Amino acid sequence: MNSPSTPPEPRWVAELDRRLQELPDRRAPDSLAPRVMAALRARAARPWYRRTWWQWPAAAQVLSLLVFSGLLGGLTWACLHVGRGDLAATLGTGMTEPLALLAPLWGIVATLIEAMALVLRQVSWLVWGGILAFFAAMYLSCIGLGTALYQIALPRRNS
Amino acid sequence: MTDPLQFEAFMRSYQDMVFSTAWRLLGSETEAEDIAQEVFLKAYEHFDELQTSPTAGGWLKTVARNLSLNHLTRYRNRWKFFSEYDKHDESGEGGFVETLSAPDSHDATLDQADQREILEAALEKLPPAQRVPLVLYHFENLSYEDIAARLRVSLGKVKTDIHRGREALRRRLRLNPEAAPA
Repeated sequence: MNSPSTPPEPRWVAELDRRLQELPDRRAPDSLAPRVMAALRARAARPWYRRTWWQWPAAAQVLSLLVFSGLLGGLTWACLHVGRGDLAATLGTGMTEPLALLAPLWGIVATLIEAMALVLRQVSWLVWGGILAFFAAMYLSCIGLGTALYQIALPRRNS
Repeated sequence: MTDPLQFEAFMRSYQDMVFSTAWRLLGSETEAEDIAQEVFLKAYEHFDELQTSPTAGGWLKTVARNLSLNHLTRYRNRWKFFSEYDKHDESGEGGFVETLSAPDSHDATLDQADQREILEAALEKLPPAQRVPLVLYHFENLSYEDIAARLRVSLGKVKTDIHRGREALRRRLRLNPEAAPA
């Protein structure tokens, strides 16, 4: 039985093992099968967008891949241009024409992006590091405090 | 496309085994039913392969075991579950055995069905820290090492817990502890 490194068990353990193995399966509740079938029916009735991506219609899968790729490409492109500080100008010339109807909104977005780029350029990386370290320390403090309170609220009776 | 009627027949032929696996680990009918439902919902996704597979039963048992163990670690106080005992339990004497009803003085005449009932009841009343490794060893045929790895506890603790669980069952069944090794 089990590991070959296990020393021989007393005879009563073998007897107990035998009796345990001989226990018949417990009868499942009568409600189990109807519950499962109802859950399957509910699952089948879900609209496609509430299913896993693999179960989406092919057209929706292709479209979602295109949108995702576009977003990823746009983000990469934006990251490359933010560092140079010419994002607003480049976007302004490249995108305002086809998106003329969104021009007023675009003005706000471009201003915000420009402001973010300015902040990124002006603030030292040391400051960013400090901010990051601060948030990391706060996060770890929360975990530590939570753990300590958990231990106090539910004290271990022995180790 | 899966035929619901075929799947229902498949489910009915395995539901007792799946439910028992979950119930023995969880010690709760309600939770075991939830886990069994989850197992069959997963099985439905793989029904095309499972319905013709000779190892479908093993697959279902493994999924039931894994989901039950995940459930135990997710929804129960894990530190308490795996690390704590009450004083009786720590001493290895008394403990939950005393919480069981006193053994019938006519134990010797108990028939097999009664013995099974007693054993099931005793198993159900074991503390989870003892019942889970004991079930994994005796019903799931896992080694001590595998159990320790699966429960993420030390090998020594697994052996101790299984020993205590067995002792509790032995006392309940009145098996002779002096019997020589098998």
